[in-house]
Amino acid sequence: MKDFTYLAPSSIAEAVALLAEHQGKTKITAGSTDLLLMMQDGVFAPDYVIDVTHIPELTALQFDPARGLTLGASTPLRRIETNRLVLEKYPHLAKAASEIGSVQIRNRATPGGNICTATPSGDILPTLISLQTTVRLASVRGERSMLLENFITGVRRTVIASDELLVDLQIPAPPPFTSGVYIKLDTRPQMDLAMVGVAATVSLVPGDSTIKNVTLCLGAVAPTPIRVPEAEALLAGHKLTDDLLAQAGQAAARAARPISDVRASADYRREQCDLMTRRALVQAVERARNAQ
Amino acid sequence: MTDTAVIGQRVPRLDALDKVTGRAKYTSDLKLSGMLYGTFLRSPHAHAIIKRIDTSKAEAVPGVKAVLTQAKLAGKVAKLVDEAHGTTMDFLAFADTKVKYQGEKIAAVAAISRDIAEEAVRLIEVEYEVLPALVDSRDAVRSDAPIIHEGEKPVKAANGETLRNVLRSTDRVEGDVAEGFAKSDQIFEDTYIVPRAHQSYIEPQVAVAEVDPSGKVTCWTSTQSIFGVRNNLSRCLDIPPHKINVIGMTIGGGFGAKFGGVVDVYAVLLAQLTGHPVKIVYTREEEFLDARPAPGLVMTIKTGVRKDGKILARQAFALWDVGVQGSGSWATPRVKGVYDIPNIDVHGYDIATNKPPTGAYRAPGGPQASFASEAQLNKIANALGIDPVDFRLLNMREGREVDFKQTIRKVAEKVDWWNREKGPNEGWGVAIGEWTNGNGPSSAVCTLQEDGSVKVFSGLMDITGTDTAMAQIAAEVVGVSVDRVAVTRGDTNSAPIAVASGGSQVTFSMGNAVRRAAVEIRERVVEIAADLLEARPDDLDLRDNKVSVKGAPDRAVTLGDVAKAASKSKGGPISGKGSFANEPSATTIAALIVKAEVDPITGKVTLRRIVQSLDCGKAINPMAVEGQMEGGAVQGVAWGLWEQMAYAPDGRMLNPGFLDYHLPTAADLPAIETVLVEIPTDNGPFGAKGVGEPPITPGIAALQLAIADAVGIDLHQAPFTPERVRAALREKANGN
Amino acid sequence: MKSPITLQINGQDYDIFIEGRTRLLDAIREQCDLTGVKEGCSTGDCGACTVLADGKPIASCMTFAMAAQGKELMTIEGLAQNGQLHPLQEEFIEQGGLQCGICTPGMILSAKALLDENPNPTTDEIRFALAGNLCRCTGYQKIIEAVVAASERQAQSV
Repeated sequence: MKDFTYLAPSSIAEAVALLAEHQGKTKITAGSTDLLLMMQDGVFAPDYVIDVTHIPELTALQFDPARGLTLGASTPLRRIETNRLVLEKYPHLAKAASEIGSVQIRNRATPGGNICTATPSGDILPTLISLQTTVRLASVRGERSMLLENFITGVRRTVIASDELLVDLQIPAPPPFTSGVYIKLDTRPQMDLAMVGVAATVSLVPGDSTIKNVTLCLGAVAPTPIRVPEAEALLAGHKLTDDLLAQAGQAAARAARPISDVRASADYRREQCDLMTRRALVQAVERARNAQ
Repeated sequence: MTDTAVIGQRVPRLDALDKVTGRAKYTSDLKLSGMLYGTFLRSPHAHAIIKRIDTSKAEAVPGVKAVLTQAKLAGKVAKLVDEAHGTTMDFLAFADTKVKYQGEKIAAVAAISRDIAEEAVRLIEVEYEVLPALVDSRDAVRSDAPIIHEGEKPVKAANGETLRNVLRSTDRVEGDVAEGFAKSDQIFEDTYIVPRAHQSYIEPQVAVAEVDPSGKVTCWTSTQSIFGVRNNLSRCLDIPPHKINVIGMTIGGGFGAKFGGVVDVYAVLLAQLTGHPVKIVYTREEEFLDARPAPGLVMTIKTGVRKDGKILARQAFALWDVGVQGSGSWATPRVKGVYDIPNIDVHGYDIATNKPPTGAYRAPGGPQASFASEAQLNKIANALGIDPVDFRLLNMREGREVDFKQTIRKVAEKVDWWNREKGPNEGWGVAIGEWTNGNGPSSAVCTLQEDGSVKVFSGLMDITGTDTAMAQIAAEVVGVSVDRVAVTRGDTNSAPIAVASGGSQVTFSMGNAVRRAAVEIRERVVEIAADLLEARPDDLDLRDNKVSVKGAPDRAVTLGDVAKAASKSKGGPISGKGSFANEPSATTIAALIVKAEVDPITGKVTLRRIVQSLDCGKAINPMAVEGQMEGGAVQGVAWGLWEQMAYAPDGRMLNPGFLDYHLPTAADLPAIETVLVEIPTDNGPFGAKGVGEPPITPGIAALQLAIADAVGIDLHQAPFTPERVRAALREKANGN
Repeated sequence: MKSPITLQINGQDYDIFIEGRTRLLDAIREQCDLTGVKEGCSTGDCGACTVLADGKPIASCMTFAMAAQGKELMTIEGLAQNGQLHPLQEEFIEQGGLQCGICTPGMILSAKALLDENPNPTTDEIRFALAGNLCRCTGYQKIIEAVVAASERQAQSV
């Protein structure tokens, strides 16, 4: 690994100033669970590594009934996974966070890292997208926000500029009778990468089991996490039936563009997109029914 | 058996305190002054001609002390011995004109830091001409296959085919299979496939070497046999054994792979070249690319049975994917196992492929061959409508010092097998695996100290708790409490020869040596105590750290008193030596029952119960025996469920790390239940048989049956990944 | 370029010189000479390098040493207090929760963090909490038994 200068700013202003000053020669780090390995492999060789874990805004974990959840980009995943509010309001986010690596890794790894590394199998990405998460970026040029869905553009590719800092995530407050599920298809409960990930966030018509709307997002089956608008459209306004489930599952399988690798073949992944979508929808509706 | 005071007790490991406090010293913890760090340049290709190697830029890096290639060694061969198989593999230390597997060593660099050594490695230029690679043993034997080793000669196989790239073969013929098949009511033929697996000790291969100005070598390393390493270094580097001292450090797991030759030879070569001590520690990736994993197997097995379940004949044709070197074929006859089969015709071939060389992994070849053997027996039992446990009881052979039937019955009783229950998509599986412990030359020295404590000294490497077993044996014989026994490991300069810690042979072989040494002590103690107590030797009782007269416990002297008296006696201080060469043991089996649940939608298998019985002859230390069973059972099952070294068609490994080579974690496993069976063997110390190997052997087959029982599919290829299970379920649904 | 930093390990300050790229694992092993922390894979997959940072287990092979400044670190060497073993250490010995021992320091530290957070864990919770610590020798059976026994022992001593 090439040596570098380690910088640890304590404010956003200081951080973005450093990014601007050393533009193109920096990498931002929080837990370094991805970055250190990539630097070890020579994927990155920055001159400056900027540790953003000392910036208060970046470790926020705050719920406001109106604004929803504000999640600092450098909040350790383990904190998200064990937070009572997250477990209650966003059970699938807690689940997705708990699916990454091991406790040791999750005590260091962060949503900001998962998002900016942008691997197709990043476990919290489908859930965050299904929750319509917005990301906030800061630079010396100012701030901008966008849907996470639009932030990730390809395998390990995002729209972040080299002088920008991912500050936090904004996750809307769930309306009544809204909940969700994340299903990670892997070979074992911990320490594994997803073969397929399916996240579904479902809102039901109050007092009814009719689906008001559903946001469905698949992970590990395309260069980026992908929504399945076709399935979302055909479910909205309906109760789940076997036929609708089958149609939604098939829509998910059609949307997927999986690859074959050592973990699974493309065919298996495509089939499981279908089957796990069905499973996720059934579970999500069940959960939403009980979510006040 | 007479009752024993210390044998059979759950004595905590002698080294446990050091290990829970971080004080135990492993090889990589060593730091010598002036020490350099060695690292390797490896081939990125599985098969290629080397056109050019240029090390000049690497040599120019400040801090680099040596860059070594085969050219600089003037053709020196690294001859590696595989102690567990007793075979010798000839390698060049580095590839010079041709690479034969991805990860093969091209050059080594020694530098003042690891970072500098790695930087220098990146600056070595190599030009390759890439050749097509052979990754599947079935392709490698074809008549049009590329030849991996020059001078190879085609082999006429037992089935009439001509095989290419054969390194070695094993044949076993008994009776007349044709006749056996002719008399059979049903004949079954199946092909089973097991991938390569890595032993995956958590401590990577490591060595530190130093060479003094006279050429004497000192090597600190993590090995299962310090004498094996010494002899191998001697052979490889043409240095007489007495000029090499190998010091065994605490060993962080071995399972058959740590017999030297992987890093130690290179540490010595770099130390010779630089005059500095050199440390080499493998990375995990290097472990997967260039260590000594277990060979893969493709076995076609044909079995003839009578309607009543009696097996009449068995034929097997096995291709072992050993990589560029190695052996598995010798394990092929295990398909006969502990069964009474009158007609056997078994042929195994070690096939060269463009993959790293293979070595021993716990019961070498056993888990692979047992999968084919036992899975097919389960299939036959099912076809004949006979319970799989009953089917085995029907066919198991009997013999002296063995009771295979009792061992399988005990595990079956533990789970109430004949009344077993299961929920939806759950299934039960059973299988056995056999092993006869090895044995080998071992010597030990015991000394009675003036405080009445006992010292045991040998050259044994302790991985599984064998030092503790040695202490228990000495304590039992001399009549001291186990906390008054100190066990010390010598290096190859100081210690008498010790058997390698592998092949389930340590407790049997060294245990006998220690017992004999302790008996010598006991005899002298009795002689002197008889004088002191004015009693007849026959009337003396040795226990609780003293010698007393039977029936008169007040007439006693402590062992310390005896030791002091001995120092003034004509015979002098009390010490004993014991030696053992090789005396036969009796075969033992592990019987395994697995309960598993299958998710038919995803194909994912979840383990619900793992229950194993083992005939250990006599458990010197039941806690240690259980530890061997629990660890071994999990390794076996994991090979069936997760573990495989996967290769791309061009020979590159697809999963050279723990991210995608899945070792079982605590969260993947249920509780493991164990049942000890004790059928003593006459030659074992206190009747003990070796216990290390058998527990791994039945895992794949037991799991296979559990899946079959759960969802009605008959899998032939391990591991049983969700995708394979799902594919089989789909095929079944389609009526194929 | 090397710079001076202070690491606080086992209640003691270590003033050391390190580079930006120095991993916490190497700083602890090479500079502070605390070799109880082990390296098994260098990719965060085996847990042998586990240390506690402010009481939480982390993989020291995936952490820059610079990032550990200001944190209270604990390695296995710091677990026994005043010569008294921690109940986990005692039970790993008694129950046979170790064989080769290379995973033991990390395993015990992960278990300690668990018991500090959840003094009476179920075996499932123990298995989940230890999933990041690979052990190849034991099949985990006696490790789980040791953690259960330690938790019971702690409950009795309160």
